[in-house]
Amino acid sequence: MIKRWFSSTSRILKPFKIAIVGSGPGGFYTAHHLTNKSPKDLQLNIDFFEKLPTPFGLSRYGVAPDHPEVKNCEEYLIDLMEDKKAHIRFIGNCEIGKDLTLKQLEQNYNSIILAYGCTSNDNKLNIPGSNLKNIISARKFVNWYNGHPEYYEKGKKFIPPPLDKIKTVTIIGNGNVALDVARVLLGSEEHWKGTDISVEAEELLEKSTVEHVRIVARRGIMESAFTNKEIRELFELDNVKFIPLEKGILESVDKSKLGRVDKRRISIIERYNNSTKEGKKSWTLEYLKSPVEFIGDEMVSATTFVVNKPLNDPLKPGKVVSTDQYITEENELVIESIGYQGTPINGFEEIGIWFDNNKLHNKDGRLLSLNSKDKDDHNAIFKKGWYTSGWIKNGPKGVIATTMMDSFDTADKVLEDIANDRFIKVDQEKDIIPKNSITWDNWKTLDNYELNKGKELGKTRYKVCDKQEMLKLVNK
Amino acid sequence: MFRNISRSIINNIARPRPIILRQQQLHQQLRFFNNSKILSHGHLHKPKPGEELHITFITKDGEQLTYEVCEGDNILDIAQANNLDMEGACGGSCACSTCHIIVDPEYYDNIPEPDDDENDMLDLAFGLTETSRLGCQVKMTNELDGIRVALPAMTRNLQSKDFK
Repeated sequence: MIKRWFSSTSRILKPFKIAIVGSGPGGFYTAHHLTNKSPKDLQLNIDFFEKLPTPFGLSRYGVAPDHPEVKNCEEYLIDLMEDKKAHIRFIGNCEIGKDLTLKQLEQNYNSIILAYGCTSNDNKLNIPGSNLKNIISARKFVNWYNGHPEYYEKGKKFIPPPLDKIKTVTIIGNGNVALDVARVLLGSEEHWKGTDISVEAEELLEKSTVEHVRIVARRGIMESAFTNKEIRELFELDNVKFIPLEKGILESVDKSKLGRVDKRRISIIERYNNSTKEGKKSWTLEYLKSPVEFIGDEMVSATTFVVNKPLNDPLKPGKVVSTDQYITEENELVIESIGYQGTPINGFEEIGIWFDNNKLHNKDGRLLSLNSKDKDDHNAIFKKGWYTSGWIKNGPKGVIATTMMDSFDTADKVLEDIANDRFIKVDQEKDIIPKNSITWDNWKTLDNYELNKGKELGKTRYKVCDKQEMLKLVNK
Repeated sequence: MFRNISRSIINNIARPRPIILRQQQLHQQLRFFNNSKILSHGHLHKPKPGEELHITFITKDGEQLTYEVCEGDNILDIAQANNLDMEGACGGSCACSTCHIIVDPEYYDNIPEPDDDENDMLDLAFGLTETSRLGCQVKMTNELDGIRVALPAMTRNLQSKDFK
């Protein structure tokens, strides 16, 4: 099929147009695989649509400033954009659902891949006291220290917690985001100096009076959500003391039954649990506690937890039940890090894309049609030509390598469908790109500005956080 | 920084000729001929006669491909130079697990032990085994002559629950 379709007519055939919504890892790994694995005689024209003026998504705004090596993945997008043979455009400052409609995409592209991420909303605790001051979501805190423009917008600016008046912080949840936040709060001035952390965050952290960070999870040690790299990093922070785990937690683990990863996790924790390392600041890892109430007048001053115990049912691994024991611990700041949520794009319903319960419904990356809603999984109806990759595909989980494999998988589905004549037939020849969008050359200008200014300040990069300033710098 | 080097150079470097191709496939061979690019110096060097080391990759399809390589070359570079499906998302800086390989137990102990950084990343690799390593961290030495490594099958239909 593919042979007939392309080889006989490839010379006169129009290029195949692909739109990717979002220019983070989910988007650029998909594009990389598409260009890498597509047949040689098929010319792909790929357009990246990015809401922000800047590319790289979560690599720029999610990955912690002290993890520059993780950001090396950005080379994948840079290579694509700078490969003269590839027909790839970056269209920044262009929000789908606002500046362009989904319908317009459908009228102009043969395949469309939604890779716009899953970090625009949070899971929230709904317990008494949740609306007290100084209870914030980790997502907002992370976006703030990473300089995300939506948190520096005039009139809507995120007000960071008063770290210069706070001693004890409780972080709820123990995934890697929670550990990133803990590292930001515990790390020394020197640790952050020189990174691309936002200047405002750097200045506030210099004045920080935080002395103790408590990382609390509702389940047990074996259900810890962090990865081994991140926990080891926290243990190894200079001048920070780890206060040993509560008695009984390590002792409850039967090491003989663990796999390689879990065994290593326990051995890392054991190694540092009894270390004599001293420090100005301290932290604890706490398990089997769920917050049930935040206490305080205007601002939070303490959190009450119910103590949980493991159910120990081999058929329900990791499950815990509450006991009737409660404890209250003081804290002046609570950071909730219990997961992100995705949001729909304006117009999904109208063009028949099925999104509900925070989920962009798809099967192996192919979007499901609204008509699939009443069908069972075996009789799913696809929304032809539409795909998804990255976190919005399967939820906000997994590390960069997970996203990569997952994106390759979506790209394979796109290619499979192209070969089998399943794509959107496009007749319009009009270029729909808004005039004031940011091009890759615009971004290079901004990139150079950030790098140069960073050099002056002794930072790897000075991030411009205000969108208007970004646009001014590139004369838009 | 070395991150800029790996992929851009790899496209231009000499490809060691495969000396054994079991289950030869026509298109596979054609590809090698098509791709003979101009020689330039990169990570990989042409081994001097008599000093060739051998490495066999077992692909996801079970195909075995053996190459003659130089001492000091790392397995990620070798794989990429030969167009094998191995990514180096972080540019070979031991910050991801995309160059995960499974080493023949017979050779595993001949490789210097992984350090904490490599173990951190291996712990994130899908389908981790007792003899897993990262390709970017394993350099060819005389002790490893003849080593066999498998590329783990890329997982299909990933679900978030698989990573919990």
